[in-house]
Amino acid sequence: MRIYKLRLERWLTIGLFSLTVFFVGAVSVGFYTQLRNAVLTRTQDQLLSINILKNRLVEQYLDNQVRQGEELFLSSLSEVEPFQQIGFTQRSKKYDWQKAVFIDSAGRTFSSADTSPAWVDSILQYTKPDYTSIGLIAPSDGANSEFYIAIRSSQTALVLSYDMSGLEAIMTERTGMGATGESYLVTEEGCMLTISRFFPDTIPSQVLVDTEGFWAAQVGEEGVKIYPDYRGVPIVGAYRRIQLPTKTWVILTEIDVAEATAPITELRNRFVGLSLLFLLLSWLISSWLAKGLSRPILSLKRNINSLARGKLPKKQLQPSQIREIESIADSLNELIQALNSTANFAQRIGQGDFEATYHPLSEQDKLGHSLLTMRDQLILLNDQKEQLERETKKILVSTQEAERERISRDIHDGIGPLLTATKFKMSSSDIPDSTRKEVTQLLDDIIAEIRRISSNLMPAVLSDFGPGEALNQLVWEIQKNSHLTVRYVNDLLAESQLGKEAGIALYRIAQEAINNTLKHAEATEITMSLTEFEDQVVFYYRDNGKGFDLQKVYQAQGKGLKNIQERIGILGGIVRIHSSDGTTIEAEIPVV
Amino acid sequence: MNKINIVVADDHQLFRDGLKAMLQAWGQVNIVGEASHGSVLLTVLASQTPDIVLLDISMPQGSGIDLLPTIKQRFPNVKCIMLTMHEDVQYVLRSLKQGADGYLLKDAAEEELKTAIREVYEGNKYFKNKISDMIVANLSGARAPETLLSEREIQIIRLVAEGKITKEIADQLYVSVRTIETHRSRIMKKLGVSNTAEMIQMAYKKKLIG
Repeated sequence: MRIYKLRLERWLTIGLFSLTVFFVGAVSVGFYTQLRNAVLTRTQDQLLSINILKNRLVEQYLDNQVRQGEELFLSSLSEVEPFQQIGFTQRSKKYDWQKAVFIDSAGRTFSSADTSPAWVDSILQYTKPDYTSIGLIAPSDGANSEFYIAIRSSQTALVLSYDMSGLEAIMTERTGMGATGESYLVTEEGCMLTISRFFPDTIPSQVLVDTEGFWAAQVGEEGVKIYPDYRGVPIVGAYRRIQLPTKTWVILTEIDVAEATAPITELRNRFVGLSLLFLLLSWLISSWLAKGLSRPILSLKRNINSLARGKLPKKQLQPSQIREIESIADSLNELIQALNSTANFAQRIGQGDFEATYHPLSEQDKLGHSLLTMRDQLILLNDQKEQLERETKKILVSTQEAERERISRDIHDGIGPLLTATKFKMSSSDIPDSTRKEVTQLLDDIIAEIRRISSNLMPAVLSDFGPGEALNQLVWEIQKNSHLTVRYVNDLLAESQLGKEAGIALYRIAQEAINNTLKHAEATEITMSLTEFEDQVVFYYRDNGKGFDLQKVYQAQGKGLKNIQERIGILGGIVRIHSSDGTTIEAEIPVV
Repeated sequence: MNKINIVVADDHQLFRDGLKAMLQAWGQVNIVGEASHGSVLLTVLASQTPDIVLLDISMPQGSGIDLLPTIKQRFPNVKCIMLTMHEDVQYVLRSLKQGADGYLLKDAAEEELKTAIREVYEGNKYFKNKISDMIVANLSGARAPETLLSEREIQIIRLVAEGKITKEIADQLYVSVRTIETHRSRIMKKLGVSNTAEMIQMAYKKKLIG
């Protein structure tokens, strides 16, 4: 089975709402049914008791009429004459009858007004001697029905007729019957005896009652049930049979189901309204709850998506009201933070910052460990590169210096002696004295020039005696050729550990420094020293000149200074240069 | 007057020839041998016993200066005059220290060479004038024998004991303040002390200063 993929919010809303609907529905239907049954049962009980009461009243009424009739009958037997005169006139006030007919044993008929022999005959026709009968007279001309009581012995008979007002009074007593409750009497033929509440203008006998209740009562059952009445409207009806002498009537007490259940219906309608309101509320609450639940989840989802695209959220996730989601958010925050620190680390490495440190998140932090390895590799490579560069420079410098030394020596020791030899030759040759002097002077100049060139390239003192002595020589030359006062202390050890390369470098630095001072500083004093410790040689240089702007010198023509620093750097040493009131240069070279 | 026996040691044939020609023309010397480098010289010296060796400094298999002690040891009577292109005082000093009897530049005037040979032959030392002026000063600055502390270090303790501050000492010794500080920490380490007061006290005790 395929389950449609709905959004979490929908699922939650639908789920919660369905639950509410089911609950409200079940409760409503249950309550309604139970309440309706209770109300109907109560109505039935009530109708039944009214039915019984009316039945009793009808029986009492009829009994009463019969007793009066029999009383009249007996008294008529004993005193016919007076009765004849007085009976119908005087006693008519005492009794309820409308018409009366008495037939004595002699066959004489005494009757009240409005009677006719045909009317009497039609009644007697339906009665038997020695019986008291109650019957109904339903005139065919549409006049009101009336009932009669016929009391007969073998020869005599008394017939009394009554209008229906007595019975009607009983039936129309409708206290507590609401707007549709009614009780009525029905003949065994199914014709209504008393006036219908709903058809007050119709002659009762013309209303036919062909209902379930009637037929049940007709066969002697009593009870109460729900069925459609003579109008076809569903009613709650109580029914029973009234056993009359020679006749059976049926008494029905009914009320419309609609009215009986009216309060329930109203309640039901209200309940439905309330339920709808409740469901609406439930929908709102459901969707609000669902949103409250789904929003942080969606936010988590967005953040995870952005993480998946490699974008790190700048701000922390909002704390949630829901503990589980908050703990997920916390974890995600932690993840973001970890990724951030990893990314920062990677970025710093990428920018060549090998000082960057990183603490792996755990033993299993593969990325972190890889980055650390990468950093270490890069450091190693960088070191190797720098080492290589240093080596290369070192080789370049030492090659250059070696070359200089060689050329210097070649010129000095190679050409020099030849020139002196030439000089000797000159002195022993036969050329004029003036020419000899001239040529000898020329040769001396050449020799001096060669010395100067050789010394500039690489002073022989430097290679043979080291920088301490070479600087002595340099100082001596400066003092010879300028007005500068140079104070120099050579404090190298007798068995100096300073290597040849370092010695040359220190000499070159001093040369460069002195050149700078001579060219730019307008100084009058130079102080200079070489000091050797067990582990390092310190060169110190100071002039009292005007100094220079380090930055400018570096940018403009700082080849010399840069050179100094590079040469010292190659040897693993450091140089400090200060220039404000005069220039101070301090170089330290480690001694192996 | 006897002729002076001379051996010339120089790696340049042309120079040797020129020199020989000039000296022979002079007539007061006998060139008894010549050598192009150190080992040849020693061989020559073993067979001949000259009065003077004219010795070049820059030779292919080792400096002439380095040969001096050997020559002086094996042939104590042979006098050595350095004849070189190097006019730097360091060479002069070194040669002097190693036992040279004279020092001449190759481009020196003919007369100077002759004077030098005669002077040395007579048992004097001969150094070129401008050089000899500086020798005295340099020799006076000869290094003291090794002690617990170097001369410089003792000097620094003395200055400290006089109450000079580091900056003053640095200025006086032509070094940086850092260097003086380094010196002081070395001194304290060597003396096994941890502060200046202890350093001075210890220096007195060991009679390094007085």
